[in-house]
Amino acid sequence: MRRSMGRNSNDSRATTARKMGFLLQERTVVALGFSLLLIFGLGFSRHSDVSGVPDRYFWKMKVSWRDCADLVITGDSRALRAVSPGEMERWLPNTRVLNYSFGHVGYTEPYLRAAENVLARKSSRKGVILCISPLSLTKGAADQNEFVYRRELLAKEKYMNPHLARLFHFLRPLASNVEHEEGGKASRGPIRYSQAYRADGWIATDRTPRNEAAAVAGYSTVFGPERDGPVSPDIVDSVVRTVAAWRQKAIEVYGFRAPACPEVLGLENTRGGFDEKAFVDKFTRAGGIWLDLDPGSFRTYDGSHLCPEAAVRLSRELGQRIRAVRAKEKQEVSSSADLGAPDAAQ
Amino acid sequence: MLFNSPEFIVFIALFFVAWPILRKWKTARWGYLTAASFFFYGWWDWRFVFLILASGFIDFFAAMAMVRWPSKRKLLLVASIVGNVGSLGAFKYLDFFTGNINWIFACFGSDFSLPLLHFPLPVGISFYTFQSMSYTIDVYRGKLTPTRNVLHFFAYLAMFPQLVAGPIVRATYLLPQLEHVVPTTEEKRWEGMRLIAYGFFKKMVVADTIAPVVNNAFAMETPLASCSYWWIVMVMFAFQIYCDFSGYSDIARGLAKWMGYEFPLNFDHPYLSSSIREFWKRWHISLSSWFQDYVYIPLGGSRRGAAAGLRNMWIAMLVSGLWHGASWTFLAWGAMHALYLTIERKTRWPEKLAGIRGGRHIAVLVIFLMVLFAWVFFRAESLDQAGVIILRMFDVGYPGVAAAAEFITWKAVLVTGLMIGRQAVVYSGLHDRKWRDSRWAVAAHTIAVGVLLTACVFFRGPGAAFIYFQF
Repeated sequence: MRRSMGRNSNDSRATTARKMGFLLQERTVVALGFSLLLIFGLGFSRHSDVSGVPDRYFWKMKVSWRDCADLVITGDSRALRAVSPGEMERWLPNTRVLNYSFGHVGYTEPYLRAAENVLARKSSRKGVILCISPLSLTKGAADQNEFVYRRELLAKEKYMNPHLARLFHFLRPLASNVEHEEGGKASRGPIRYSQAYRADGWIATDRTPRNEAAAVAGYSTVFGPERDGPVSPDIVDSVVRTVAAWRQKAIEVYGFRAPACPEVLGLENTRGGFDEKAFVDKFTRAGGIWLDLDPGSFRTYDGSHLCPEAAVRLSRELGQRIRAVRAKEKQEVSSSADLGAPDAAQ
Repeated sequence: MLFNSPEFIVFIALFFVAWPILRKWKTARWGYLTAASFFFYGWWDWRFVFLILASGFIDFFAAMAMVRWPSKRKLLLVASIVGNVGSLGAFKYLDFFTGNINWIFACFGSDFSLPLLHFPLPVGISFYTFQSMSYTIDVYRGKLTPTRNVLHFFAYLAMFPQLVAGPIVRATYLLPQLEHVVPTTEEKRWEGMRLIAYGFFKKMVVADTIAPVVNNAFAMETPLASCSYWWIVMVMFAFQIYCDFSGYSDIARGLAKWMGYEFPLNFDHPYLSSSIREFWKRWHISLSSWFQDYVYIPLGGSRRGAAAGLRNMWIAMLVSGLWHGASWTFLAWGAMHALYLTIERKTRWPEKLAGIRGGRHIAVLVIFLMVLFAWVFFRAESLDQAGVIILRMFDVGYPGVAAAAEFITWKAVLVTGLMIGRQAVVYSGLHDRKWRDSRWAVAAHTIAVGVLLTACVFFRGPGAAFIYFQF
């Protein structure tokens, strides 16, 4: 009996050894299989703070836009996160609007030319909207232009498609949307960003917790000589020249001040040396239409970027104002045509 | 192509699909390996493939000619060295020397200045140039019979796992391996898997997580006056560079094992050294042994007395410093280590310290701090910056603990702690205990490798190229 029990235990040990032997023989496959299981398990179980178009495809798509819009929004991260073309289209029927803004962008000639190329050649009414943040008129932003970086990346990532981008997105690091207060101060707790990449070029972004003072420190140093520098008169002149050139080509040009909290707007004027009145004068003289939207009245999540509901409000106001401008123009044209009718009859 | 890029995963998967079949025939094996290696290298910039070809052909034909015309061996060796050092000099050192010549002229009030050519630096040029040179030198010394097959030669010279960042594998070591097909055993595959997983973890999780903290510090975007901050940054940099470089070597060795080959060990826990001499036997072993065999010993080593030995050691260390980069900071780093070695040779302090109770532990700590101190020169953008940082490190009047807490991320602290813990385990010998061979330990190890690979996906730091690519 005791012998048979001993045999049984030896058999079971041998079976375990065989099983373990199999495991030992195929350790590479087992390790790879186990890591794949973990990757899929973790990937599917985690909460996603990013939605919409996969981010890597979003940028490729945006840089590839050509000949496809009636109205193009330009600007830096403030415009990127603040203007929803979808909301604008509700107020501008039969107008395809696209947000062609990038993160850290300067209003350079190549960028403005690329924005023009986004306009559909056959469009009956072409327009460009400039979301003017003083930072986008600095030499620093012009030199370190995210638009250039994204365009160069496109050349390297020609193979990128929505499926592959989705896979890259799935495999992104766990903490990719979590940051810490400037400098990584752990004691203040993590900051979580949620971003929805929209196919029309808008990134609806929010931050938990919201902090309207977060950007103030950054804006008090960003216009310094060792960073982006103050507003460059050369870049302003170049923008104004482009506006005039566009008007010659019958492209409507609208401009508005990028919204932010009042402290940031104040720093842009003082530290950035931005004279809004002088800029608007030049802009309107070149043929642009300035839209005064009370930039300090919108809710931001960090002091400089609008939270989604404020972005929708801004986009609605933009759509309504442009619609009003166009209606007024139409009225003027028709009234001048009415006035001219007798002449034509003669 | 970076090891830590999606392109590489596709490349390596495709490579290993055909490798088991093609490796059976010599020409197919060498041809396939050469073609894959050139594709791997050409992914950065295909034009530089011609540079490897040129450098390789010089050495291939020089070695063949040495056998054919033995009386002209010396001339052929000189031609090979001039060709290799010439291309290295043109691409890596020309602007450095030109800049210094211009500076000398400026010091004498002259307006004369030579133009800087700003040639792009081909990735890994220092590695494959040294590997190629070792081939001709070994043939010249009669240690190696040159191969007559150009594909065999290029399969050795351009072999992709070690092409851009080492280890620098000698021809005497690798050429004979490439002659034969060695079937890969499960043990070898597993060993390879373990090395690859650990290598990726060191690079993607440890080095890449630390990198932003160190980069911010050396970009001088953080307050300077904090003694504790700079010490922590330097400890982090010590582990960043170790994990970055040894991670690459581990991946290279692991891939070689999967192919059925062996690369030599390149890092053997260097921060556990109890003397600077030992450090150089554990850090970048393939390079330090290269300098020993091809620079220090040909100069005479220590055969002609202690003074000549010291002089030769200084030359080897300064050249080694310059090998890392065309900058005075690298030269200063080499000089620091030469100074350490000089003091060590003269005083034999590590042996004396090891003789007393607990002395070895103190020696390990002191050596680590000395190496850490020298890393300041290695990482600094200029000698001025290095000077400022060293002053801050010893400015005990400003401990600046708050600044350290403000600018150092908890993730970087965590991964550095993890690596320090790993060193402690190795130092204590715990990793080498018998229980490691038990069934459950083996199963746990298999799971651990799976976890490491998963960590590389979800806990990786911001991606960046390997530090040693620039050398």
